[in-house]
Amino acid sequence: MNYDNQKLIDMLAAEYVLGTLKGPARKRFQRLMLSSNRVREATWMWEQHLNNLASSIKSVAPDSHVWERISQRIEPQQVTPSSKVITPKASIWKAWSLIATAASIVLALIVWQPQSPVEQLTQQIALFKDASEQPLWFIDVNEQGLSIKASDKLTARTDKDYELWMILKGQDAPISLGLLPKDGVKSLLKDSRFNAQDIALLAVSLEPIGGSPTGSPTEVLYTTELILL
Amino acid sequence: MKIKLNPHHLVGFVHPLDVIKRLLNEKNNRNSMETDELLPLLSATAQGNKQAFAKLYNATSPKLFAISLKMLSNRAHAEEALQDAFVKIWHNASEYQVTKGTVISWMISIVRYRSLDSLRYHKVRKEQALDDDYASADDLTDLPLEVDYEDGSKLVDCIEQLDEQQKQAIHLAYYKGLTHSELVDHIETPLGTVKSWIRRGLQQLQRCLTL
Repeated sequence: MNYDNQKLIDMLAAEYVLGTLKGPARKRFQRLMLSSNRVREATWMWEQHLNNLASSIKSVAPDSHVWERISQRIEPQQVTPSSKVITPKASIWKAWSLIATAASIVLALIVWQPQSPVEQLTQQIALFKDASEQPLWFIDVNEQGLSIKASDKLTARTDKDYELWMILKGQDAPISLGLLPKDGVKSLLKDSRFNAQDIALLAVSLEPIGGSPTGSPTEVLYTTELILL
Repeated sequence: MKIKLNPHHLVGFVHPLDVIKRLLNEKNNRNSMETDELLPLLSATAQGNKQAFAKLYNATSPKLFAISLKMLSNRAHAEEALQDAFVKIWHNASEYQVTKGTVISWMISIVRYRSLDSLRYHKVRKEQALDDDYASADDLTDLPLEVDYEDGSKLVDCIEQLDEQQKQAIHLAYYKGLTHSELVDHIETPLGTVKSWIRRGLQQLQRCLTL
């Protein structure tokens, strides 16, 4: 399929936004969005157009428990109650808050080691999560390379491999960083082009055993950003 | 490699970013809640401000929940999709850029894509289930859709100019998340015809929107 054809890109983007692009074609298009500015821009344009259709839908307020669950999922110990939406369960948050405070003090005592001064270095980390926000891989970048830990929550397929990619700002082609561990910890060498300031996105793809046969991601599963601390 | 530019290819071509910029500036497309309230709230959310996130939720969740509920026709599934969408909005707030469209459109897309995933997941489950636990999951009894637009955006003007079948097919896909093959069953029309209605309807929409 010729993805350089703007008309084709526009129609694929429109059907992606509408929802009629489905299955493998939808996944292919999502992959294309990662690597092509034109595809992303066409998609944003159709989102902006077609979402005007939502103006015809009459609002329906969700039950208050929906907000409570969202609050729990984003950071249970520190939710700041909005009087309107979380008042009924305020006591729960208070209890959480007390537990969290106690835990923080204990953690601070464990971590604080006055005899060994801590070097103030910029730390680069990334975390891949699945659709339900379960952590899958934690990546810690150091001078030598990338230290990657697979989470216990990861249920890896035995017939496939998972490959890590970086997408540099202003560049379309993802660059492979190597295969991810299915359990435990693994170190990957740092690609010479790996520079936190240049990286737009990190991505994980599902690949045949041994990695991508084409040099490009086969099926992008997750993306995340590199975080500088 | 040299690329030859044929001037004919440029006639009528409007860069998508220009369209987005025009849409953002278009008075017709204004949304006072958008500029006055949502962008600052989303920006503060991106900084980790949970009070702002709560206000963003209060301001947008009734509309977003209604979109999900209309698509899924199942309150529990719609609540789950809304939760997932807002968790994603919390984590991805910093990824929003004005070039992606208005804040509310960006949020609607997140909810719709999550609802589409949910719809297809539960449909597969329903097809696989021997009992009919999921019988109410995709209730289509409220079709055909009655659509009554609140605002007068250009999209609404353009969609009103489509043939009735094109309009109906696009509405069913947008509001109910129906796929081509589900549209075939619902409208009792061959697959090729349904695909053509959607494709031509979208092409006509694009021509109308970029004029």
